[in-house]
Formats: sequence, structure tokens, C-alpha cells
Amino acid sequence: MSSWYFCSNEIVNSPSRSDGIEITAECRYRREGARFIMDVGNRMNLRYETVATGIVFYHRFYMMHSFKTINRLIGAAACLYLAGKAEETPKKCRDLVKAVRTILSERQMEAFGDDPKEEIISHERLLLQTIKFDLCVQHPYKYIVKFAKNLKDDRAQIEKVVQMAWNFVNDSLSTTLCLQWKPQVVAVSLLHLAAKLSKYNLSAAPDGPHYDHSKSWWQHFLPEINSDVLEDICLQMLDFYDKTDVGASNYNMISPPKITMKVPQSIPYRTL
Amino acid sequence: MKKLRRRLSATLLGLNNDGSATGSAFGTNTTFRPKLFPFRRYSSMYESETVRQKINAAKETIENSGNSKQISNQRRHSAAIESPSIPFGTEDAYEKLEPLGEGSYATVYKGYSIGHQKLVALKEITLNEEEGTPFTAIREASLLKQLKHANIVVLHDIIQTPTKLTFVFEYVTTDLSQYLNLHPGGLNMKNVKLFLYQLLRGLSYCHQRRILHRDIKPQNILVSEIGEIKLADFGLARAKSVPSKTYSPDVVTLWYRPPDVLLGSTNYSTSLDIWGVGCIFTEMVSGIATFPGVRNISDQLDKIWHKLGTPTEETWPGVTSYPEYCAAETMFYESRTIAEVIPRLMKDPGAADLATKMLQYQPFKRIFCQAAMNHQYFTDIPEGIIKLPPTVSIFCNGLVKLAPEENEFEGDSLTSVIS
Repeated sequence: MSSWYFCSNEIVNSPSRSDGIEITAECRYRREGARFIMDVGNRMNLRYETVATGIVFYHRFYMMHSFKTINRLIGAAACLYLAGKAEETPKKCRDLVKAVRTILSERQMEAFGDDPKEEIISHERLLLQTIKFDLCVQHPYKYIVKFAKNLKDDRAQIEKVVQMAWNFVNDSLSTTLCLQWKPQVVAVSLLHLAAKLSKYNLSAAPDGPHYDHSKSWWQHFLPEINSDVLEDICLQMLDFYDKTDVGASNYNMISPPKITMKVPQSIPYRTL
Repeated sequence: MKKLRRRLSATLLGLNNDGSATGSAFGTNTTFRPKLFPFRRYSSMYESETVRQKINAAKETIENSGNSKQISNQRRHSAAIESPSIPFGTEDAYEKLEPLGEGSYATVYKGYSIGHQKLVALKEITLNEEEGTPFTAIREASLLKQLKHANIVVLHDIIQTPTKLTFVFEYVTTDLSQYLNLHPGGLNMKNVKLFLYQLLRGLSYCHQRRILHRDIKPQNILVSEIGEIKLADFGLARAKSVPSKTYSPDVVTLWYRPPDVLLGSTNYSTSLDIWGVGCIFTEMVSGIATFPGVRNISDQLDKIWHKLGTPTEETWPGVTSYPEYCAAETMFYESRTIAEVIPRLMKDPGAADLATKMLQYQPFKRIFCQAAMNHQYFTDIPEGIIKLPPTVSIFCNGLVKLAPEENEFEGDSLTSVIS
């Protein structure tokens, strides 16, 4: 194990596969886990970097463990918990449990046992061991902004493309792209996809007399990446949208939070 | 491929028809959005605005699509980063010897690695029942895994047990604090230069990686037998705020903290560490702490003003606007140069000038690590040392060596006690 990047073969033959879990089911678990981390993270007002780091931990963790042996909800909660610490936005475990409770049904909470806090903390330990304390994770977000700054003008158009690419990055966290490619590569690919969908031709701002006009715009940032790689990443992304049933909640393991809530008698009127 | 594209456009079409905000991976929550482009209602492609555009574009992509099957060679382009090379040892691989001291959040023991037959330092961190692994420990481990430098302490191994976490570090004989106690009255000026150079070398490596140490003090600067300097204790590195009482029951020393931070500034950067280096530089020369505050922040500020003069709006524009600035508590002292405070600095050309540049009140005026290493004070550092790669010790090629100290601690020599 020398790196946190895997080829498609390794991703297909994950520990869950040897445990008899279908690839489609695994993809769904990954998607739902990512989604769960986002929901909990948003509820706790965590920054997007923290949430994204938690999701990357989650994907890496389940390259070493099967979804059968480690409950994915607990795994996801532990990932978010650790990401909070790693990204210097630590949250109390108690508050995390509280946020998880608001999202999960009582039946789903059963997975967390009698002491959910203890369960998360012990999984954090397993997670640390699994990911070998490799806690510094980079995300495509900052590269999108960095590359966009070096693109030729029409700021309004570029802004639009960047916003779209940014949303692609958000959604890409539900896929295994972060296990396959470095964030820079994902960033150029999703910028490419966004530009294509906006029918806008990106071009890099000339950076001097030696500017090579024959190169594609992204090759000014990542010279060694060819269009096949970009194409593959875009396809994976489109494929993800295609497969994901967006009309219904694709989050069916988790019931939506209840709207009507009984107010317990003991709630004080004022906070002192 | 075409099938996929067709399915895609169908999906995108269907998507917008049902107005699918519910399906968004991120809901309508606005936490996830670019900082530079902050105001957009939608945050996921699920909620995108113009379908027509997408369908057309998807068609266009079909036309432009290349062959995406032959990419496995290129896959994992430069995946060679992040090699988790630290093996996970077990507790019985190490024998725990006597305690060496208390870190900011842990106890450090001398230890013996049975497998490697060498001494190590075992930093034991007790896991918190409420919050699991302390986040300072998590920070330290992840930073030290990235920092590979001759002047930064080496993390060999990490051992996890249900109740504690142990970091296995290389064993370094002493630290600068003990070394200063052992040689009172100031160190040999030659050694001051070698120590300072190595300190800057390690710190410059951190700063280049945008990592602040933030807790520079003699206790955190290890000194090996041959005089190698190793930066240690990254538990507070790059955390959000400066270390304070809230992190540990012990009072964190304020002696090495710059005036802008003492005055309540949180907008600090590498200048924070440089002030600390300046304090240590002058302490090595004089043998005593330069600004030894005894009580609190205002006392610490008083110590600085007493030595170097009280800043005014003329000498430091904006000083009175700092959150913690308190005119009533501020005594007025005449401005003095560092050479007047520590005359021994004059023994070495450039020393006083470099110290002055490090101990600037205004953070933006403080010298940077790299510039400090190029300062004329270091002109007699041989070229063969300057060119060494980061992971190599400056003592590797025999061009420099530790000079004997002039002053030895009198009475019961600590060295004889140890041996």
C-alpha cells in the first residue's frame, strides 16, 4: 500500500466485493455515506473543506474495509468526526451524535448501540489506523479557483463555469473520483465539463512570449494530462448523474427529518 | 458510448422537469460554494438552470468525445505522493525507560527500540474519554509525516492502544533549555551561530510549506550530542489560535510571543515564529531569557517595552488600536537598541543587526527565515553547508563542528549525574 490512489481494477475488487457485496450496492453505499456526511456536516455548520475531507476519508476507509464488517453510518460519522479535528474545525462528539440523531430514524440509530459517542470514538481509532494518519487531504475546489484565475477573460462567463464546476466537485464526492485522480486532475476535468455544458471555450491566459498556442488550455496547468483522461472523468461524472435517481430521494436509507416535533415539557423558556 | 450520452440527455431533461431541488446532493444549503463566487442560489448540478443548454452541450460532447478507453497507462498520474511509510508498531516493540518531561499535551519517556536496538523518545498521549484522540495529536502526526528535514525531529512510529496513543520519535540527548542551563552566561558565539542557522533552516522549511510552528521556545528545540538542532512539538502548529491556558492546565509561556499577538492580533503569520527565534537568539547570546514576563500578558508586554522601549503611534502606527492595548497599564520606557540591552551581541559582526531585524515590533517589518539565512551574520557559513539538501545534517561533511563551551555549570555537573 503505497498511495491513496487506485486503478479501476482495484476499486472494482474492493474488500466489499470479496465480502459478497455487489458493485452497484457499494456505489450506493458510497453515495449515501457521502450524502450523510454532507447532511450532518451542514447541520453542524462545518466548512466545505471539512466535509469534503470527511468524505475522502470515508472512501479511503472502505477501500480497506468491507461495508459488511463496518457499519457505514458509524463509519461515516467517525470520518466526519476525524475530519473536524484534521481540518481544525473540531466539534464535540456529543454534538455530532445530536446532529446524527436529527437525521436518522430511531431504527437507524440502533446501529450506533447504547453509547453512540463511544461507538464513534472507537471507530475513529480504527479509522486513524486504517488511513495511517494521512490526514492532509487536498480537494479540487482550490484548484478550480486557482486555474480559473489564469484563464483568459470574460469574467462573467468564467464565473458561471466555475460555479458549475464547483457544483460538479460537490457531486463528485459521491463518486470514487477522489480515489482515482489527484485533485488537480479532477479540477481541470470538471472545469472542462462545465465549459462544455456552457458552450464556452476556455483558454489559458498567455503567460509570456513562450506561450504555446497549440496546447489545450489545461495543458498549461497540467502538461502531462491528455484529453482521454479528461473525457473519462467527465463521463464518470455524467454517468453518476445518469444512474442516480434524482426525482425520488436517493437517500432512501435515511428518512427525512420529521417536521412535526413534540416539544418536551422540560425545555426552559429562556436560555440563561 | 452513444447510448450513455443519450441516457444522459434524457436524465438531464427529466431532471429539470421535476425541478429537482430535493434531489440535490447538497440540498439548498449554501455551505458548499466557492468563496470567490459567493452568491448563487443553486449549489448542485441537480439544480441547474438551463436544460436546453445542457442537452445541446451533451450532444456536442458526443461529437467531440475521444477514445476514453486507453487511459489506464495515464491513470494515477504521479500518484507517488503520500506514501504511508510509517509502520504501525506494537507496544512491546519498545521498552519504556524513565520520563523525560511533560509536553504540551503528553508525557515523554525515554525508550528503547528492541527491534532497532536504539534509544527513542516515546510521547504518550492519553486518549480523552469524551473526545477520543486529541486534535493536537492528530495535527502533530499529520504534519510530522510530511516534514522530512534534518532539523525537524523524526517521527518513527505510531502505536495505538484503546487507552493511549504513542508517538515514537528519534531520541535526542537534550534540549536548548537544558543546554542553556548547563552553560550559563551565554553560549560560545560560534555555537550560537550554528544553532541559529539550523533553527532557521528547519523553520524555513516549515514556512515554505505554509506551516507555522507557533510554539517556539527552548524546550521545543532539541540539541543532539554533536550540536544538531531539531525542532519538536508540533502539537500547536498551524492551529487556529495561539496557545493559551485553554489548551492545557499549565500556563503556556509568553516569553517568546510577539507584541502584536500579545496585544490581541490574530492576523499573524510567519512573523510569529520569527519573533520567537529572535528571543532565542538573544537568549543564547546573553544566557538569560530576553523578555521573562512573570504574571500575565500585560506584564509580558511591560518586559518587552522595558527592554526595547514603549511603542507610540509615531514609532508603531496603529499600536493603540489593538484590542488588548491598555494605555493605563502601559508604562513609558525610552527606546533602546538590542545591542544596548545585550552588549555581547557586538562580539560578532552582524549579530546585533540580525537580532534587530527579528525583534521588530511591527510584524510586517520582521525579517523572513530565508532572508535571515542570507544575512551577513552568516557569511562565514561555508558554501558547502548552504548547498546541502534539506534532509542532510550540517555536520555531515566536517566543514563545521560544535565548539567547546566557555562556561560550564558549576557544582554537580548534570553530565556526570547522567553518566
